Amino acid sequence: MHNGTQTLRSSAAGVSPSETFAEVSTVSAAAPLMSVRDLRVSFPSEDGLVPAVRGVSFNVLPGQCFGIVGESGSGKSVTSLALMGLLPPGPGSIIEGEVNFGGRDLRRLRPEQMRKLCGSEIAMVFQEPMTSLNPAFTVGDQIAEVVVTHEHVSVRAARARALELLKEVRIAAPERRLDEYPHRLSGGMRQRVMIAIALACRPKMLIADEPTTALDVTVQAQIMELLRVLQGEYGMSIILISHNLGVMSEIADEIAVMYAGRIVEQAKSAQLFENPEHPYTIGLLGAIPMPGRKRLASIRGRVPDLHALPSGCTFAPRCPFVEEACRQIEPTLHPTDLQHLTACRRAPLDRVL
Amino acid sequence: MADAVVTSPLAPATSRIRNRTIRRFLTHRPAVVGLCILVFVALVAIFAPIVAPYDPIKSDFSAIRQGPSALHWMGTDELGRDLLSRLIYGARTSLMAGVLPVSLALIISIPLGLLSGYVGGFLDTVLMRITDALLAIPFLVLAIALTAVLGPGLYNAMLAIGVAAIPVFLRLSRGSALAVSKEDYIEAARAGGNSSLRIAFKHVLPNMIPPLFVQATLTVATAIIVEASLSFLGLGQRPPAPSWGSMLNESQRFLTTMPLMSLWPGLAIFMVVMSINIVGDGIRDAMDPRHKS
Repeated sequence: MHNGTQTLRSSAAGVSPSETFAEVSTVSAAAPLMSVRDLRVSFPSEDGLVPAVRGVSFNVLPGQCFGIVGESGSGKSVTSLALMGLLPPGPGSIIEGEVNFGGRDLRRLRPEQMRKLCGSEIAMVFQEPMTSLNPAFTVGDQIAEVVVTHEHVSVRAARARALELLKEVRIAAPERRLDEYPHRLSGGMRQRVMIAIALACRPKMLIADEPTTALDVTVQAQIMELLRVLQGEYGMSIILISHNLGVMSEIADEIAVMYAGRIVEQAKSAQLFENPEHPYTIGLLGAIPMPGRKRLASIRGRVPDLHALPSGCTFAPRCPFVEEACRQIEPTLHPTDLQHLTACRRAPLDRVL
Repeated sequence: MADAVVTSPLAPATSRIRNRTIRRFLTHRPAVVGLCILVFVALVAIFAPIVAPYDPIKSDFSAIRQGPSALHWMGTDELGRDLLSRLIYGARTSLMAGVLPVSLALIISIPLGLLSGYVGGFLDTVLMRITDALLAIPFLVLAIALTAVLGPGLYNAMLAIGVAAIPVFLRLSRGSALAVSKEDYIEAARAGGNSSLRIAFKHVLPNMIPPLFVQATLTVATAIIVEASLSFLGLGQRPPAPSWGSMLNESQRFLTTMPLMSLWPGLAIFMVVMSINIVGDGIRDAMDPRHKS
């Protein structure tokens, strides 16, 4: 079903049907740890369905760091919450598509199976370390709780593991921190504790949703470095969500750029930074402050209202390279280079300029 | 202190925050004075048989409506009963009438409020509409109506006060549970694979208690006044057993001739209620999360 529609759209966009997304994404040799297929999330509202994620597909390989960038409202956080099954159930949200993790479709798991998986095999680090720890319990208790819940070990063993984890996330004076309440810790330390909680059961995958956004810049770098080191030590995959391309460049192996609920460009990190193809990505890269840059480029216009998406390419109203055809048909993600996917009918832009 | 904690890693780790809260409470001078008054009144009430100079219900027709004297420090009432002794025994009734109904209201509202706020849905709608309806009736009027249904008597009055206090506590605990369940750490707990039941009791419950605690201290004061009002109306403590409210009721006939008779129970109610309110303020300030960092 998915392949069929994708092929139709591809051919409509003027791309040869043989180059469908599914085939391109299987270029990588290793079997993916997580494979997301045509994930769609929409929220019913008074003005009808609001599509927050509109058909997102990607693979995350074992040990890989997969980055998702995009501005507010691009659907990156909703994607991560949908992966974890954390969106409000029932009529609050409509989720379609497949999330394959280690051979199981997470979307089809029963709630108690999902609970077993969450926190043990897939763990999450949140954006707001200041409010993501329970103020009523000590740091040690909160780390130990996860261990007890998922590994059914004694409280004593769990506390020992908690101490070990605090050491692993490089918290100063871990023995003392174990019995402290969250309000006594700084933002950076709390985020280290959140990471310790996430790592408690040695997850195969860590979803980090803007893990450094609430922290100041020096602490940001420390946390990213910590994540990079821990990824190696634990051999886990990371899905890193951020609006900060600088943060991304430090750690991500592969980056997907999201815009208005879709991936508009996806490539290896180095490739994306050296040779961005989508006008939106080019705009984002131009907006990174660097020494020597007198004036930062800005992308004119604003993110489209999800209630009323423009017809054709959603970026067309802001795009400096827009053509009449762009406003007719929404382009699909297609390869513009080896392992480089772009959803722009004018890409590669080198030929245009 | 930190070293002591490290050497016994399994020791309950709750002591520190309690100590911090208590430390901050102790810096609030009026609250400490209020607490001393309450402790004093509570001790007097507990040891009433030892402290009271006379039997509170025994009449002495040779000493009717006397003013304060060496024999009767606060004077006597129209049946010659010692007012000080009645005041001391009345403290038992009044304190009990303050604490028991509030405890009843808390025991019922906390689980229901947690359910309503955390689970939400149809149950929440039904509970909140009932609460709205009950909140539309003033506390005292509701208590009087309930006592009228249950029949007069101290325990019926306390039951009525407790039931009348439920809507306020239910509303508050529901709001508190709702606010806490939207916190990031609850989402983090869900991401950690905790079951809903576990999140509700382990993560939401402890964090929704502080506002309820403050409201409880304030309602204790209100309950004492309501009990006094019910007794004043003859719906609470039954004669001849004393309560501060019934003493006021009996003394009103002699307000012009013997104002001191009504002064004592009035003063006692005023002192206790004010102390509770000040202590409640002190606790609120001490537990205020804004002071925590």
